[in-house]
Amino acid sequence: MSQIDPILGGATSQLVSVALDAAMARHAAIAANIANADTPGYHPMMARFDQLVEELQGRVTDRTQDAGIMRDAQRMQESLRSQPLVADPSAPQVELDMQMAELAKNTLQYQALLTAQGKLMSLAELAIGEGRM
Amino acid sequence: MIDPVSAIGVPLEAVESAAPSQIAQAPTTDFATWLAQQVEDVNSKVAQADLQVRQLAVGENTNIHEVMISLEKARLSMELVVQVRNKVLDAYQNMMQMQV
Amino acid sequence: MDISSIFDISAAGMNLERQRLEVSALNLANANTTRGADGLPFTPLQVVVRPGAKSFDAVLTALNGGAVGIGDSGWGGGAGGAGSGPVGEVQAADVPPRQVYEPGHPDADANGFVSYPGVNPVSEMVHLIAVTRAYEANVRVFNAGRSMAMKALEIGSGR
Repeated sequence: MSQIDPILGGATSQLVSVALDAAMARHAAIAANIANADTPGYHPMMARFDQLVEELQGRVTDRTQDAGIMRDAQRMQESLRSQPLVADPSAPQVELDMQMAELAKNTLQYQALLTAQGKLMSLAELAIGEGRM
Repeated sequence: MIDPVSAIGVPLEAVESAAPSQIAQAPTTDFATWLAQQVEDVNSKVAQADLQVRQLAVGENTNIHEVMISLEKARLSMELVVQVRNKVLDAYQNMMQMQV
Repeated sequence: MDISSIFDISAAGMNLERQRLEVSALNLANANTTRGADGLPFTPLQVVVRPGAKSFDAVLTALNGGAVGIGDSGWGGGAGGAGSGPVGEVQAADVPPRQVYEPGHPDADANGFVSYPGVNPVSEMVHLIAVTRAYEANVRVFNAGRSMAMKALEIGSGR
């Protein structure tokens, strides 16, 4: 099956890995914001990943760009590990309800990605294991 | 009492017309062609599910149920092809073991 | 229609209700403030709701498969990006002050009347009840949306 190679080690796994890292960074930002909700002079933080990951949108469905996408995703992952959080320009102060909503959205995104990736891997497992598992 | 009988027959007709079309293709082409078609089908379903997972990762299409359904469709297609292949191999082995 | 815009709408609704709560709390706390920082009696505030920056047509088109232009894009947007949720502005309420005859009060005018802010505690309390219920309703909508999405994750896992 010619599509197994892209599934097993290609751009999709890299993208999901970057997206999971982004979700963890976002969680850290939300946790910091909620913990510092009453701290005077605290500016809400956000994950720097978000702007970069959005740059990948529109390119991911084109398989001919896979090599480029993989390089960009890997670069993003490495360069953002050192400084994942920045100040959020759109929020002047911490709004607790919005943070809770972001938390729920983020958790859902994380779980959805994990489940989807797991299912994709089990497809390959099915082909390898000859269905006799 | 013709009317009540034909009233019972109506739901049965509805079920027959809703039979899945992929399986109904089998009798019209030979087995090899059908199997090749199914493998192509699995390829395309898996590829589509793969692309949708990518879109979910970058936040392009956050329809979670759509992604899950595509993955499930791909899995079912794959299972069908794998099981058919297993049965064919079993049948072949059975035949090879026959004492002539 | 993506799930994150549903969350954004509920989040904006919760935010609005919290704004209303803050304004009500401020009004009640200052019900007897005859002289504020600017020398004038406290002006009761109210939250005026605008339905959001976009027209209904634009929102519906976006939800039905147009570009995702509702504030943020997919998952990556900031917390304040709900263009289709309600947006509240805090404005001064046009309520005349209560005049009370207290000639010995330092803020009494020439006729001995003191101007107290026109805050009606009863209506503020009723307002609080409405705000609480609206907040709870938004939370319920949010939780319903979240459990629907979680159930969607279970597609195909009941083997």
